[in-house]
Amino acid sequence: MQDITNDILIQASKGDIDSFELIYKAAAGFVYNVAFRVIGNRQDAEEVTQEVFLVIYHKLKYFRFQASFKTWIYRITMNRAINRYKKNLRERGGMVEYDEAVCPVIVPHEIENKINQEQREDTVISLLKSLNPDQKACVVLRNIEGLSYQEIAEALKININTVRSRLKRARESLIALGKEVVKNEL
Amino acid sequence: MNCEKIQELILTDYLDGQMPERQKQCVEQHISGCFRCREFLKRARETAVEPFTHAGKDIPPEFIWFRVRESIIAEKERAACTVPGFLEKLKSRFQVFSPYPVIGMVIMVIFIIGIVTQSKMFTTARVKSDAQEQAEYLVSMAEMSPENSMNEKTGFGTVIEEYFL
Repeated sequence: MQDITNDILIQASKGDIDSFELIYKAAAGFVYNVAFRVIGNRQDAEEVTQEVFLVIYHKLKYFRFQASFKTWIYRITMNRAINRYKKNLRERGGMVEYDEAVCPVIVPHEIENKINQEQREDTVISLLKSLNPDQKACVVLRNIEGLSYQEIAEALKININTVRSRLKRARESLIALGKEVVKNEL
Repeated sequence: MNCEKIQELILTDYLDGQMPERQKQCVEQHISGCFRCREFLKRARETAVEPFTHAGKDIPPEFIWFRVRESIIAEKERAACTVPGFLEKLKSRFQVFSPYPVIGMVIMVIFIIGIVTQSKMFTTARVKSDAQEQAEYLVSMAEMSPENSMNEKTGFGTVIEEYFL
């Protein structure tokens, strides 16, 4: 995202598609991954990513350069992803279908690690599944994307203490879930 | 600080490294002397933080960009179609004849003719009926004349009546 200069943003806001492609290349990875982590479904994450970039293209002319561009994209992504998750929940009567684990590109000498990687991904999916959308958003932005509390507060338009309390409750749930898993394994 | 407060800080600012150095030292001092909080920190790290540090990151499929690009281009083309070109502007500026005002005028004329015709017919009918009424009135007056009334068989036949008549 550091490569995205104000000039690129200004050109893209005027409708220059090549400049907009640079923005897409810089941001598509985290937009797609955040959407996938929140929704838990690859197809919906693809659609949300597409929607997010169309929104960015239309709203870029209203973007205030005092704010962080990355935080602004996180905000749009989170809004869209949480809305899609809630919509899925309503339509499927409270049940959300989760996809298989993320499969990163694996080079041959790392094949033996594949099973461990898949297990770790399964754990991530099951842990996120146990959280409500607001808690999930905070955990994804903090633990996977590495945003600070202040950045999360700006991205979600909430108070910094609300970020703290959501993370606290989320982690309490995750610890309780961990205890349950240990009990079951025993 | 008691264990409850320490564990609350562990779950948020301490685990996320968002704590001022002085407060951090205070928490670490408590943890070093408290087995329960040390175990809590270990469990919190293992179950609520570490699983996510190895979360894989997927590469978004290429077709997403093609779809976004297609949508933008289609939108631009639609916008270009709705903005009138030079020829259209010129045509609209010099376009004098438009069928809509003419149709409106014709409807207005028909409406006015209709009203005028109706009012004329009404006036003629009214004049006719007035003339008829007058004629009837004259006839009735003629019938009521003294000659006629003298001949009338109906009467009271009193002395006063005869005197006046």
